[in-house]
Amino acid sequence: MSTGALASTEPRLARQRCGGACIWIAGAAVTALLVLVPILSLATLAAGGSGDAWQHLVANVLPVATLNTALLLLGVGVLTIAIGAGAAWLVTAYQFPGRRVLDWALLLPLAVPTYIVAYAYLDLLHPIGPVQTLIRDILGIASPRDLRLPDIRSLPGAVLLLGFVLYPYVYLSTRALFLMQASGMIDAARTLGAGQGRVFFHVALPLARPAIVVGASLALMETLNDVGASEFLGVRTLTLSIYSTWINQTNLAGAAQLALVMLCLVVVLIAVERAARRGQRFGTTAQRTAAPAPRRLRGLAAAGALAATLVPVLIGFVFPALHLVNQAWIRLEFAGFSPRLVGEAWNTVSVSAIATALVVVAGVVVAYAARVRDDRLGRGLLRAASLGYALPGTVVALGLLAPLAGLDNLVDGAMRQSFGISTGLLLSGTVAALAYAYAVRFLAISAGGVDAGLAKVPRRLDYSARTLGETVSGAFRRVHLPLIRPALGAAAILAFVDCMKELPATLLLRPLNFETLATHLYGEAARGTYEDGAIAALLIVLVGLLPVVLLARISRPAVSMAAP
Amino acid sequence: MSALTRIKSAATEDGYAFVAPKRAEWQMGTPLGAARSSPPGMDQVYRPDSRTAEREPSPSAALSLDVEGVSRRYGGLTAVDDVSFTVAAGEIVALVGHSGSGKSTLLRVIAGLDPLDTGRIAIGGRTVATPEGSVPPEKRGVGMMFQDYALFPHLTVLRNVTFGLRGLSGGEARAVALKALERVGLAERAEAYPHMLSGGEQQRVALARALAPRPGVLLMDEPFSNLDRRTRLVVREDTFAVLRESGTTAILVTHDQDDAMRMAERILMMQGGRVVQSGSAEALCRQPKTLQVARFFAEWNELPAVGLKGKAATAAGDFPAPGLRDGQTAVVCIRPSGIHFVPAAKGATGGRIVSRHFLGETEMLHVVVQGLAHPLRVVAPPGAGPATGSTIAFAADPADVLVFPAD
Repeated sequence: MSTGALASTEPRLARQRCGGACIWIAGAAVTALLVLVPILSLATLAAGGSGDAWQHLVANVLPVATLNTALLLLGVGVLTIAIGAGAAWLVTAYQFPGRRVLDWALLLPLAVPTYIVAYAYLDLLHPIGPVQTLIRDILGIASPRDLRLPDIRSLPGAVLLLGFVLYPYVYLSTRALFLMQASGMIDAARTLGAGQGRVFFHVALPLARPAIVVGASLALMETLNDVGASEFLGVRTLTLSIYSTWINQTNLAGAAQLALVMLCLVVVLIAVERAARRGQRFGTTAQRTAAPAPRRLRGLAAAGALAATLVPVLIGFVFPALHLVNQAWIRLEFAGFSPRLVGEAWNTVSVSAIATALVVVAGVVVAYAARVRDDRLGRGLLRAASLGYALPGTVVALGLLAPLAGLDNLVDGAMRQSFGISTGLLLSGTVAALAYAYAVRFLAISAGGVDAGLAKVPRRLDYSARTLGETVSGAFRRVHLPLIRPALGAAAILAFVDCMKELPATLLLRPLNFETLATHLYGEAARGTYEDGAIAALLIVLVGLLPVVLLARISRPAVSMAAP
Repeated sequence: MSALTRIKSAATEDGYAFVAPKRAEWQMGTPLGAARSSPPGMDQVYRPDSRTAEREPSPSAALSLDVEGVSRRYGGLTAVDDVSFTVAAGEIVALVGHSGSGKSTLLRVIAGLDPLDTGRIAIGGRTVATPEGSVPPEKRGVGMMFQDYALFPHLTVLRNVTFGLRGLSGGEARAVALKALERVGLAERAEAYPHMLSGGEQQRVALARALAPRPGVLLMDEPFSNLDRRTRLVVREDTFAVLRESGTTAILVTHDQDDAMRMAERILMMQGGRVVQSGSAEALCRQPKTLQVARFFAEWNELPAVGLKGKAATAAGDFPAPGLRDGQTAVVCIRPSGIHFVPAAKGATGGRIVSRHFLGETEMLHVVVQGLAHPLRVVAPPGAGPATGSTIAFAADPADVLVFPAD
């Protein structure tokens, strides 16, 4: 080896220091930064707000909103855990008529967004709606004034409705745990003479605690995110206060300050969820045995189990869905499918499709970067980019308003100075801003999905591709991409559906006169008019069924294992 | 052994030269062993120092490999610790050691999949890695094979092999890949998917895939350890023949001494991230430098000993140990085949045969010796020797006795 050769090769070595991984890491860093923009800008906004507005908020808005939000979270938490964990235990531990169907049917309420369930029940439980009319007919009461039932437009009403559509998060995670790992210990408990009650409360439930917490924290994030249901039901939550502080009072700093308060709640939820996931990982490594053989229930016990698992499906899905079908049918017969609705459906699909494309590409970038640099940097960027799933849509939208406007002004100013052209608003109040907000909110879906898909590709395939002459990016294109295609497809569907259902961010960021199906429904419900709302709601629910089918399919092998 | 006959018939065809840009050349049709007909020296080593050399055909794709003072640390653990060695072009070297000895990490560092913390690696005389920077694996011209073969599950056998043939047109790549598959006897499975193949077939596809782009150095990480014993012997012979025919420089990582001795001209034994001994299989078997090397390559009777006047004293007699201080503890290793039964006489140690196991070509006897925790194992020709239960005297051949200081 001559020293000359060494000297001549060294500069080349230095240039290739990080190989082809740099692009991916840089891409991931940019993505993570773009996700963090709303949070950073919120902090800046809140810091810049005038003190007196804040004092007003602290005195008049914050106490009520915080109390309402806390009570709502508490109620929804208790209800989702009771329904979700209870139903999960019933369908995994017992055999009763209808169990096979209910096993997946219990997921159906996932297809109904919170604002739609509230919309449907406002109608159903209206004093002159079908339910109260039926009750009056049975009791022989003529006038609505003579029978006062508790109003659904109340905090307990909101808890009830949100609980019945959000319990599937707990059901899903807990049922998976019961199927995967608890059986060995449950069998052991039985052979040690524990009765059914003891098995559930002393073995199954403690084992499932991390899974329950994960599910419940996801349900609570959805609760925090909700703006439609709490408005329709007249519950002044933090989210709603943020929304009205900005829309009605155009007090951006005040809204930002409220949003920061809510961010604290979000941070707590994330921390709880992360801790629970760690516990879950510990739990699954402990034991993994065959699925439990369900015990056959007979007579009254079977009927009780059937009722207990059927009621959540009826309340959370069947009743509102039937009502929407009925209303939509009436409307269609009366007025047909209005061109306005077609336009809104097109708006919804197109903006969702743009956002989905963004989400999938960005998800691939951050997940593959984390594979290429499987260290603190890569993993940290992946995690930062996935933060949006916990951010309520209102917070994301509010956090994006200022930076987008700033960017627009900057571009406009620069263009005017150098070319004498005014570009006006490029991003603010455009579909682009909306797609950006969706991407921030739902990036976690694709990043997580792609990451899980990549985890199934053995590292040695990467090494083989590299030593066969492929670059980091080439290996992705020729090896990983074909192998993770199913995961990518699933992520795209989930993200697309979530975009279509999104309401709070859409309300704040949509361009003028730009309506999606969700905002249309919101508008009608807010005005108290009933035109095409039911059709829009029904369309959203139908699209929302897609991920439910997907989830039911993914969990099917486990289900069939459980059913001998 | 269909692969071998195929290789031979392929070898009789006259040289079909392939033009693979960027990669060095070797003649696929050269007769078996031709690539090694003259001893590989530095003057023959292909050095793509100048840019034109990269496009010029060379008699052999094989490149030399220089590893100089290479270390690799993970956190507090030094997986590879100041390792230096050279592999001549066309040489086959085995890197052996127990799991955790750092051999696989070293392989990954050579391939460019892991960075190095100190030292330098050169392939064909060209520096490819220093702590300051490194040529990425895809530009190093190394091939790699893995224990689980790492075939791409979504590609057919043929497309797995063409994967690394970049810069060739589709038709050319296909032709080269088919030839490579033919060499390993799998041309007719070209359209199959990896999961449809047996373990031995998958291994051969992996070999064809790694060799098709004509790597300057082929790195093999436990390439036989996923195969059952019978398949393993056949595949190992086939692989050896293919490597010899192509004249490829190869490094084989294995924890199996049999693989190492059959395949390699030179063996490097690694332990705790360091190369503790290197040399021919015979040298490592006959004159192991450490107890670990001795244990790795052969079965021994290990007897605790104490130094006494230049000898190692054990319950089974004293053995010459010039370097041993008085009172120093040591281990005396006696080869089971090095123990002979002798007529009872003064100086000879006695014992009692407690069992004998017929092993086909030989017989294993267990001899209980007073003062030893375990019976001595003695390998003898079958049927020979005294009956079970009889008391005997024995002596050890000095050539079959090694003394190591106790660790």
